Formats: sequence, structure tokens, C-alpha cells
Amino acid sequence: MKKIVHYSFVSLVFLAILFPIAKFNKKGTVSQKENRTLAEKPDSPFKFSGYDAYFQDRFGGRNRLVAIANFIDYSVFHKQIKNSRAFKGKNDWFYYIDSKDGNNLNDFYKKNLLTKAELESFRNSVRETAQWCKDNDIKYLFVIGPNKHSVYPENYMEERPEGITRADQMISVFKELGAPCVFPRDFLILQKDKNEAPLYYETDTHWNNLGAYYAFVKIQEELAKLFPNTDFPKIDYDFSVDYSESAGDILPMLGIKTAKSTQVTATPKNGTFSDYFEYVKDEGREGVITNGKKENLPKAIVFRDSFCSALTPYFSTQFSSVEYNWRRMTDDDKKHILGNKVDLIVFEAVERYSLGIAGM
Amino acid sequence: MLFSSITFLGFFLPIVIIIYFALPQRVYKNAVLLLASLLFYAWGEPKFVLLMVASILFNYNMGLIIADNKEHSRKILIFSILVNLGLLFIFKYLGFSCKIINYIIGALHLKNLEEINLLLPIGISFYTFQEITYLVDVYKEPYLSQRNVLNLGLYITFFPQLIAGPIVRYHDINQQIEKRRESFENLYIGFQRFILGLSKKVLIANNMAFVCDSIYDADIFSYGTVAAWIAAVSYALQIYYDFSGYSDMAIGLAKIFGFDLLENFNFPYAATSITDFWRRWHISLTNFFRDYVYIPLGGNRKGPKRTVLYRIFVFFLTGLWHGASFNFIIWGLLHGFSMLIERFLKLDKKSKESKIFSAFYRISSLVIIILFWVLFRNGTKQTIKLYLKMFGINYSRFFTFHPVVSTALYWFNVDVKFYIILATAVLFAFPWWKKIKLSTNQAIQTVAALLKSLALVTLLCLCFSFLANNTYNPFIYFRF
Repeated sequence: MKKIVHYSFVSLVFLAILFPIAKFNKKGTVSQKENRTLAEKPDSPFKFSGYDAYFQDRFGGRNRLVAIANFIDYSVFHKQIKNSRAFKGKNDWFYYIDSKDGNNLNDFYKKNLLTKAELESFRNSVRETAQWCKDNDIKYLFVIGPNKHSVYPENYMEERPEGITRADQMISVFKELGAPCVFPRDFLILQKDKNEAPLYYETDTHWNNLGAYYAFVKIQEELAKLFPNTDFPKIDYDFSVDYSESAGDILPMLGIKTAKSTQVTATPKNGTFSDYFEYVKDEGREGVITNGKKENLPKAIVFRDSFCSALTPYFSTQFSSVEYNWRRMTDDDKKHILGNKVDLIVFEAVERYSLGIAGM
Repeated sequence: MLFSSITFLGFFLPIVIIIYFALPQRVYKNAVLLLASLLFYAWGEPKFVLLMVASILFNYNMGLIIADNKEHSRKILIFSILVNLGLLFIFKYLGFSCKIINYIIGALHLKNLEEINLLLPIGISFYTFQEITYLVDVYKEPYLSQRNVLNLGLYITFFPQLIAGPIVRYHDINQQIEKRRESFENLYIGFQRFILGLSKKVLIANNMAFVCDSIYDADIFSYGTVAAWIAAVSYALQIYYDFSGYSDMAIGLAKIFGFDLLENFNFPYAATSITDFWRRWHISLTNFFRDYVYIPLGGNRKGPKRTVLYRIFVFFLTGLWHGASFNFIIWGLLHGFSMLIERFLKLDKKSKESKIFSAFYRISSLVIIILFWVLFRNGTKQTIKLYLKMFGINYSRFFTFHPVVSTALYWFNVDVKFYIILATAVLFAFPWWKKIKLSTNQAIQTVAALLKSLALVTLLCLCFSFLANNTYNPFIYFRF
């Protein structure tokens, strides 16, 4: 009997350590659950650290094991759920903290303030971009989407350090150069107390339709200054609030299936969005093109990231056409812009990636 | 490569085991272990494999020369040891020495030397010492010299103990390289020991490390006395479970391949005194310094003054072995002086005479050891501030327990899970269960074995899940 126990034990252990190879995920390139690209096999057999990432991302049983670890922390110990990519803050709010992806934590702790040299470099790139636009008689607008924890620090930690942030430094540069910009952080903080529904998803990195709407209000103010003779459509919106279970883009990183999430839907009071614009192309990262229903409105091109998704419907109502590109502006884009007589270029980036907004 | 990594657990280990047991002859099995060990080392430090191979070839030749040349063997031994120590000095201590020289030169207003910052080859402290034990053992008993360079290579590079010990002395293992017996029972014992070590590392040490590092990495003004003690105790437990866990994994892995390595830890925090602590902590290092430094110097045979001097010297070396930094040296010396004080005040004798004194001294020794770890972990500059904080002394603008409650509990992840793991860690740092005598009844023993096996398989799955989740996974003894 004792021998059977011994044999069973060795067999079980061996099966456990063989499982990662046996069920290795060789083919997939994207983790749907975690909304990220999986590490690829290194191009050289000697790039050992690359293999570590490759194995770690793709070994058999990984997703289930991550879920077990988080179940233990979350359901058994009611622990503050945290790993290197995300954590659960107060009041069931989840935050993204991956230091390899823009580093929200440094923004939060104000540890990434720009040095004089870095500020100068940023100033030069803004100046260069602005000059190119001016030389070609094109209006431009910089839009920075505030990090979730900049608007909701109270759920993130007890106290945010006093003082300015890197984004504040950058806004000073925009103002100093007279470059039009929108950074609606303070406006969103004001608005969040006036609304029952939150402005950001609890389980996601991004602002929701309500948060994006308030950002759009500030964008509209800038548009009115940039195009004083244009009669932009003025649209009132109805917002309906619904509560559902959702994973957002953060929960899969923690191996949690769903948590309570507030969903806000925006609809124009008179009609629907399709009364104001239509999608010519709607392929997300591959590009979005919208055509407005009024031809006398300006034509815009947007260099964007994921924060622009919720802005797209509002923004598209204001133009005869908008081309959304999920990248920073390239030389090819410049040729394309000049060839297509674009009236406005919008440079949009989330706060944690905003240093590159003007091409740095 | 770390034992506590998916690459090792889910890929390297099963593949090596399968190939190893599929091969029929000892010579092929040893070759597989040697190749696997080189790959294991190269995974972390590809360029330093060449250095290690060169070092093996040098020591192989020196071993042969020492064995075959009785007349000059002592001189050759000294030369070879100096070369080995020289290599260790260059990579580990040259930069530190330059800093000291520059400090002196700076005081004399002379031109400074250029700073030297060489990358430290992983495990160099361990394999250099193993090479020295080989040379000394061959010098003492020439018939021990290894004629097969692959066998010597396996002794030095054997992956279970390559990067963090235990320091295996050649005469303890030389016969096993060629004559050992793999068995199913060894697999059973080896896997059990390995999982136990892995659990100590992943489930206890990593969690202690997370809290300890969170507190120590924070601004010292942002936490109070209780948090400072939590950090100190967490670190003491982290370093014990981290290192003893690694030793358990090494011993378990070696057992799987039929090797018997000596124990490296024996419940050090259950020590009755600091002297006793060093009989239980990193035993292979203590034994190395005793057998290869202290006794050859003269030990306690040359009078009390020399004994004191040699003991202090050995603890200076013990500190220095841990790293080229003043805090390690002071840490070693503090242990050395504490042991001398124990000796001169005859505290050992007093402990035997009075149970109350024994209990008091046991606790005091443990507190002293924890305080010494604070210096070991934090360096000389920060330690005094930390000591003052730990004893609630107001050295600057405030003295308060308050921040511990409001900040530490949330931000330092000090929560229910931490307290449960802390309690488990404290509980299993003492060998209380060894007093429990299991019935000799066959059925009860089988049930106990079954429960133990189930518990270990569960622990293995837990370790896998926490490693899959990319949880905090530092390793302290890597840098030594």
C-alpha cells in the first residue's frame, strides 16, 4: 500500500511538471482574456531571456493557474489583489499598473517629472510639429486623456503626493508655445461629483461614454476657438446607466472573470448618431474613417490611441470626415494630409504615453 | 535559471529527467548532467560559461599536478588557491577595493583611480570554494585526484547546487560521481524535498519579501515603529525560507539523480545562542571556513589570543564572502564578537544551569540575530535610522505608531494573508513537530504518507499558480 502511495505521488508530480510542455500554446499570438500580444519565440536560440517570456506566456494550464492564484487571494483571503500588471483598489475599482507599459505608478507618485533637458526636448518636438502645421496652414489640437487614477485617486490609494505631475509640466509647455491643447483632468474631477455614474469603467483602464463626453465638451470649446466661423452642430445627449458584470481590460490580467461595472450609453436627444455621421471604415486598430452628413464642416485626421475609441462618436458628428489612425504621425501621413486638404490634425494620447504625443 | 521559474519547473527539469533516465550508462548520464548544468548556468550568464569552463580546466590540471608532484605539491596548491581567489577578487572585490583606495587617496588630495564595475558571475563564490576544496582534498589525499575532466566538471557545475550551494566538499561527493544508485525511492524522497523547498521559497519567502521590500523601499518617514519591526522580522524569515528553501530544492534535485548532499540548515532560529546559530545556519559555509581556514591557521591550539584573532578573521571572511560591502563585513564581525562575548561570559554554561536564563537568552539571541539582519539587508547608512525607528526613538520630526495603521496595512500589503503566512513561517521555523511520535501501526503510517503526498502535490500546484501569476519572486543568495 505504501508503495502505491509512493508511485502515485511520483506519477502525479511528474504529470504536473510535464503538463506545461504537453499543453504548450504554440500557435496563438494574442491572449483574448488579457487583451495583449503573447511573447513570440526568440529569433535566436541563445536569447534565453526571450525564451523565459515565451515559456511564461504560453505554458500549458497558465490561464487556469493564474485564476487559481487570484481566487486564493481574492476569495479566500479577501486580499488586495495585485500583481505586476494590475491591482484592485478600494470600492471594487481596478487599476492598471504595468511598469512596462507607460508606468501609471510613476505618474501617480509623480516620480517621472521631466528634467530641464527633457522639457526642452519636448518643447522642441511640440514646436516642430506646430510649425509644420502652421507652414501648411493646418489647425492642430493636442488632447491628453487623463489616466484613470488621476481622476479617481481616492480609490487608488489613500493620498496622492502633493505637487505637479508630468502632464502638468507638458500642459505648461503647450500654453507657453500657444499650442491648443485639452487635458480635461480637472474638469472630469469636477464632473464626477455631479454625476451618479462614474466617468471611467471600474474594471477597465479607459473612460466610459460619459467621461469621454465631458472630454469632448472641452474639445468643443477648443474647436470653437480654432474655427470661429464654423457653425459646428450642437447636439444634446441622453445618458442611460446600466450595471452589469464585466471583465473590462484589467480583470483578465488578474485572472478574475467579472466584477460589477457601470455601463453608460449615450444617444443624441434628437435621433441617433447615424443621423450625424456614418462609418466608412470601422476596423479599430486598423483604422476608422467617418463621414459627416454636412459637407461644409471641416475635415480632420486624428492620431490616436485606445482612449479615442469612446470619443469617436462625439467627435465624428463635428466634421465632414474624420480619419482615425492608431499611431503617431509619420512622414507618409504628412504627404497624405497635404494631398487630402485636411483642416485639423488632432494628436491624442493617454496621460501615461503623452510624452510621445508630438512625436517624441 | 531560477528553480522557482516556469522555465525550470515546466521545461528544463522534466526534459533533463526524461533524458537522464532514458540513458543506460553512467558516463552518458553524467554527460547529460554536465551539459544540462552548463545550459542551466548559461541561461543566466551566457558569457560567463567560458570563464567557468576555463576555471574547471585550470583546476583539473592543477589537481593532477598536485597529485603527481609530491615534492612541490604545497607550493602548487598555494599557487592554485591564489589563482582561484584572485579570480574571485577581480570579479567580486576589485571594484570595492578601488573605492576604498579612492577614499584614502581622496583624503590625501591625490588623483582618484578609475572606478571599476565588473558584472559578478553568478555563483562564483560557491564554485570557487568548491574548487578550493577539490585542490585541498587532492593535496591531502592525492589518490582523490580526478582523472576525468568531465567528472570534475560535473562536480563543479552540478546544477542543483551550482548557483546557491550548498558548498559541496569534494571528498563528500567524489565517489558518488561514478558510483551512485538511482532508484524509485530516491525519486520519491527527492521530489518531496524539492517541493518542500519550492513551497518555502514561493509561498513563504516571496510573500515575506514583498512586505519587507515594500516597507524598506518606501520613504522611512512614511512608516512607524511597528512597520519597521514587521519589515525586520519579515526579512529574517525571508532570508531563512529563501535560502533554506533553495538548499532543500538542491538536496531534493540531487537525490532525484542519485546524489546525497549534506544538510545546509538545521532550524537556525531555534538556536540557543549565536554560537549555536552558526552551527545551524549555512552549515556548508561554516564548515568550509572551519576546515579550510580556521583549523589550518591553528584553530584553538595556539592559545586564547590567537583563537580570538582567528575567530574574528573567520567571521570577517564570512561577512566579506556575502558581498563587497561594509555592511556585510560589519555583520560578520558583529556575529564574531557576539560569539566571543558568549564564550568569555560563559553564557552557554549559565543557560544550562537555569531554564529561565536559557529561555531569556534564546529570545535575546534571536532578537540580536534579527537586528543584525537589518544591517545585512539595508547597508550601513540606513541601519542606524532603522534601529532608532524600531525602538521608537524620535530622531527627526515625529514619533508615531499612527502611520503603521493607516498606511502600512494598505500599502505594504500587510493583510490577513500576510499574517497567516507569517504565523506559518514562524511556526515552521522551529522543529516542534519532531517531538510528535507517529504510531508504528502500518495503516496509520500509510495514511500519513498519503496525506503528506497529497499536501505536497497541492503545494506544487499552488507554487505553479503563484509563479504563473508573475508574483514577486526575488532571490537573495543569487548575488553572493
